[in-house]
Amino acid sequence: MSIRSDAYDICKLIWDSPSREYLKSLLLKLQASEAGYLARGQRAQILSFLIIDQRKPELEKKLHPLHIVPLKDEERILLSNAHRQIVQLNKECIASLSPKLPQCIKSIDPYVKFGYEQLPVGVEYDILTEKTIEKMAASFSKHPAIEVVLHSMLPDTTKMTEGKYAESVLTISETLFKAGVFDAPSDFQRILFSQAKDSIQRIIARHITALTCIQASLSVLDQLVYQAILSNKLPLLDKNNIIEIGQMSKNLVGNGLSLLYQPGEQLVMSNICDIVLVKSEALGLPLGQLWKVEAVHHEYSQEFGSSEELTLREVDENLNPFGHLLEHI
Amino acid sequence: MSDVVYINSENAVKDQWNLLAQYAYPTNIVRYLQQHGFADSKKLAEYVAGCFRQSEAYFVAAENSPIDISPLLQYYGAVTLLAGASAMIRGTQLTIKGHGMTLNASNIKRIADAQVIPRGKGALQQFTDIFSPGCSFANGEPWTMEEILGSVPDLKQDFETCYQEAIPYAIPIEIVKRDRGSLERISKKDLARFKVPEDALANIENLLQSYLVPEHTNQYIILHRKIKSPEIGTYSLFNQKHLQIAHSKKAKKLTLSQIINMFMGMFSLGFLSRYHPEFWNPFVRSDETGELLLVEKFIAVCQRYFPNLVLNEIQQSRIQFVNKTKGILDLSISSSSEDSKQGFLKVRGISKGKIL
Repeated sequence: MSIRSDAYDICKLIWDSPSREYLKSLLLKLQASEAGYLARGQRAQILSFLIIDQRKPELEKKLHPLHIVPLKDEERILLSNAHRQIVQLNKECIASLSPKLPQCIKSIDPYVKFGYEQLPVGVEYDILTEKTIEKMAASFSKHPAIEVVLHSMLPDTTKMTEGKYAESVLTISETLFKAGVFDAPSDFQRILFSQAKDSIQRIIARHITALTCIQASLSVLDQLVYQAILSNKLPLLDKNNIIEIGQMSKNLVGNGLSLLYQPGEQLVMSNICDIVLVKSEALGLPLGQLWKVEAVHHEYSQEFGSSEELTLREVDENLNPFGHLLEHI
Repeated sequence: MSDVVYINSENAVKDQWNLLAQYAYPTNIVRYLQQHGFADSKKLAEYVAGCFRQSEAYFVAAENSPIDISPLLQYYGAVTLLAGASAMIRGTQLTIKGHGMTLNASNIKRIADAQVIPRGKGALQQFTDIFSPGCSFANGEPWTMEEILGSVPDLKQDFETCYQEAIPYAIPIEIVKRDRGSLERISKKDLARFKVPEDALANIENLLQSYLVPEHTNQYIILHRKIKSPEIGTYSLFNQKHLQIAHSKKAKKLTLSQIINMFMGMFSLGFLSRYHPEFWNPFVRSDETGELLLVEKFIAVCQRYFPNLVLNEIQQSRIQFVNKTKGILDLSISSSSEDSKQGFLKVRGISKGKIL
């Protein structure tokens, strides 16, 4: 069993959740609206719609003549509860870190960067039961990055403030994203090749990198939960929609891939942060790996039809898109 | 057979026969048989050599004869060439009794109405087993010349001009090579004879095994090849790809190779001219419909392309005669985008192995 297979299991439980259909139909309605267009840019799953709802006056003023239909109270509560459960899931997953390094918790919250006001509380709609959260948390607690964090605590790191942790993790996340899926940031290469494994600088880098990996894995988990609410199937890229495999890179951060596919029934369109399943023997990798979408380039014309080029980063069995980095740092 | 071999030539007819003529020499035939794992036999080598020599003679005679008799000479050239090529490909001489087809031309008003009727396990089916594998003719189920002419890619335009209501069986494809994924497309104008484009697509065998789901735009049907899928379709004399619409025969779909389709057409015209002069003579002397133009073009295409297609089968590559300047390697055009696409899977970065 792996964190990934346990995540699949909770996705299956979500399909059977009594609240799922109501939430699904609401999310599909919102996705098709102006709010849906704006939400795609937020990349915060359910929280995106709540943020847009809260920022409605400001956004309408800024994006005139855009009109955002406000959420009804019941809808707001439904979304809030669902999001709160996802946040709860994240908290439980990293519970083993809280007592030993409380100041790092905020840095690995995937939603910390999104400022939002207190969400309304109302009738409970359970998407994730307590038992489901417990099971997933037990599995996630075995994430190798958690152990790395705990084993790389130095006097220097324990003195780090909550803000410093958040800033450090954010910097590393952005550096990795900017380097793209095909290259490792030069800073990492320099540390790996010039610093001994037990050097202070390398240990600190390992410590912050491991936290970044935990945050990235939680983001993937949250995205899988979100996608499970919306669909019983992961978006699939295989011989029936892949047009061409482009560049592939196996670097010290992870595996990167670009491919071109034809949108259709199997996969209508992709968004950044979506998790997709790729089954292609042409890759020379085990079939059915999960990949995170990092860039999308859509093209349509009367002459050439429609196609989407995806830039993907592989997600390992711990839901970690930076698996190689964790291994080598 | 998608490997294309380009051969520079100023006279494709002459050069294709020069290539075929190497099999008019027993030494070369024995070498071919050995290379393909067959026991060499002097008798077989002489048989093959004789077939290739006779075939060329028949084709040359057809080229230099009036249309009154040229179709029959061309058919003899075709049947002899297929007999020789079959013996090489199979490593043994086929036992052939009869043409394996008859012609029904009673009371026809147009060439298009003449019918070729497959019969038993004669030459037609035996050659089909080799040059159009998987196609099994229904005994007695007729094939009209309209179907046969409509299946020749190089005749599409002339066919549609001649027969205003007829449906073509070869659909031209445009291959578009781009940095971001090559594609193939069908112009909807080329499907104008079909009530809806889906009628044509539904009758292309193995379409969905080879291509992703076709995408319709206002002007085109866009087709993307599936990765590592077998190629379907056929190529015209000028190297344009065509998809073939299957023929429905006794509830079965049949997609013939161009070799077999042309072979049936040559048989039909050969026997029509030889055994139905009461129709053929007035047709070639005073046709008023323009059908003669189409027939002449069919004969010309067969004269040029049929031996080429047989050569392709023997050499297992698509031989394309071109006329280009040789000896210049032009690197002045930027190849950066090509570089990124070449090497289907381009692996970059530092491998895990190197780090450890």
